[in-house]
Amino acid sequence: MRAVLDEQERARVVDLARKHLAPHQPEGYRLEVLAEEIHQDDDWYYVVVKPSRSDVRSYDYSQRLAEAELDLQEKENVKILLVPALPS
Amino acid sequence: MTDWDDIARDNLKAAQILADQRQFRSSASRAYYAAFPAVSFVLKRRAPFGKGRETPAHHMVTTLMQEHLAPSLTAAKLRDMKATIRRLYNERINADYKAGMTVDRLAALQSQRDAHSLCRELGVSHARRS
Repeated sequence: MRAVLDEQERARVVDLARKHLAPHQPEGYRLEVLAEEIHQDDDWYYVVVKPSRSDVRSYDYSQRLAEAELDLQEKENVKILLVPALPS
Repeated sequence: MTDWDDIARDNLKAAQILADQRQFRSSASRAYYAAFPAVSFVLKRRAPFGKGRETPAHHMVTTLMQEHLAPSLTAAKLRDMKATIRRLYNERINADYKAGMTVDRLAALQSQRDAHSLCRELGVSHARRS
């Protein structure tokens, strides 16, 4: 498992995740990609996503993450699992 | 020696491979067994399970989380952690025992998402210790 990505690859994955999350952003809060928490394992990338409000349950937006993941795979041919950060 | 987070990482990896091979039931099952040892280890540090047990009974996990983790976590985090392990467990039961239930790619990915989320909270790093 490669835990460390080069900066160019990290930036590419962050941009793709943000781009495909954009159409699925909820009303009332934002789903933010944590650029410092991206890991690669074979052809999968694991990207942590945190809601801008702390009172949001992870399951409330998991369907949005699933839809963004499908878009990423179908339109960009990249496998990204968007991992919810639990509330602090 | 294999440690608890090695077990968690192995099962996260297995869940990924199995989903890629369209073995969605097995993937969902492995995702639960990635999170379960991580939760068990954290609970065991606070209250040994007794009788030489390494893990708690599955049905006791959320009760023990409430009992032992509540003092150190916010209510929102604990609520979400309990909901996440419960979801993983329910999907594992569906996957392993309920032939009439559909466990598809979306369900397997949801279980992976949940397992990674919980493991992250419990300190399972992506990098394997040497």
